[in-house]
Amino acid sequence: MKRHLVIAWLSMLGGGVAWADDTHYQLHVDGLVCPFCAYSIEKNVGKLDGVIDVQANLKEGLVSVLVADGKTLDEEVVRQTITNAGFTLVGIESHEPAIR
Amino acid sequence: MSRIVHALLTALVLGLAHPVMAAPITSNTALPVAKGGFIVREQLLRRSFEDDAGPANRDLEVNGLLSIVGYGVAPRLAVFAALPYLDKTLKVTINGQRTNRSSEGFGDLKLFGRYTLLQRDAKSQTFRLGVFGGVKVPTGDDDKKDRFGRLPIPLQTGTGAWDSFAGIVATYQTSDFQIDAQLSAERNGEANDFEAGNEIRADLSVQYRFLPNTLNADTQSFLYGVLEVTAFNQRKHRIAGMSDPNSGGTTVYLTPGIQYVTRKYILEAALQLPVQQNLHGTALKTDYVFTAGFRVNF
Repeated sequence: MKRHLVIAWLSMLGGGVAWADDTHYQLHVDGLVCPFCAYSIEKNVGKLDGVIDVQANLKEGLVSVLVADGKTLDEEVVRQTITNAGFTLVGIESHEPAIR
Repeated sequence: MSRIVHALLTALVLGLAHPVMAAPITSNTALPVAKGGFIVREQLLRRSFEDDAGPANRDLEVNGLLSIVGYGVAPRLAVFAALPYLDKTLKVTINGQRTNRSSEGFGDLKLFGRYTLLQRDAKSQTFRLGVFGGVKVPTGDDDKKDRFGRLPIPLQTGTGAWDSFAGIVATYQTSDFQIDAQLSAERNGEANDFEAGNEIRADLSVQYRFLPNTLNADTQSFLYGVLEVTAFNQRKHRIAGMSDPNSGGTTVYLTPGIQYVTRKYILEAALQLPVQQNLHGTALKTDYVFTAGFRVNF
């Protein structure tokens, strides 16, 4: 819990810094065209198990998702979540932790 | 006139039917509400009817507050409920005396749903095609009275009749602009020996992003300029089975507006101006319609 608070605090600072072992995913979402859409995606993806932070990038049609250590995102679950929000998931990529 | 007000309120309600996106201010789109998500919209409305050349010199003003709740049943299916609160004032000359007659109260409840038939998403753009349909439940008072007796139908807050409506709507949106086109029809029922003329309506709306000029990774809000065109036709009313020659006709509106779109809420305002009014007989012409409100995504 304390660790999550630290992450939240870092996110609020705008640094977008991840904790050492957390995993960062990039979702490629089609149909993402305005801030109101971004909120819908951020809200729904944010409810998934293990998700710490979600940031939608309108310019690139990308959604960055930070997932807690030991948790992973299931592509089919994410796809259904994006569909339920009213959009289309094109692809999903996972990246190594941002800080070692 | 009361029916025209209800038609306008219907348009406002349906304009909400796609809260995921920015959307037009006075018409509908096919964009969905997220499954399991709620939206709430409040719209203030002020409509003025003037230009009565007859001896009664009628002026009608309608102020309304429209409250709407929408819910996403499924990714492509959303349902809505809308209830207006109306305040109407009619100024009329009777026997040389200028007189005010007015009413206030909740209007008729609208219940409707929208299903997205086609959805084509691409990077930073989307196209949606949907159908919608619903009923208007006569929850408003249609028997209000003042010191002169029972108020005329345009002043009642309810119509007393069950009406039904349906339509089709298409939306194309990129991160720079949005275009919506809609065609809808309303079949009006009969109550109190009065049956309003059935209605057909066509809408075209363009929303263009003024600000920010360019997007970046953390863009949080848009400012849209909005321009809408609406063509509205209503058949003549029937009173006690007879056609009313002073009712119905065609009006074309041009509507400039503005929308401020954030991730959580939308603020919007528009001024609907009639550019063409071909009404039958002495039917009252619209002077203007002003709408302003907000929308919140839960």
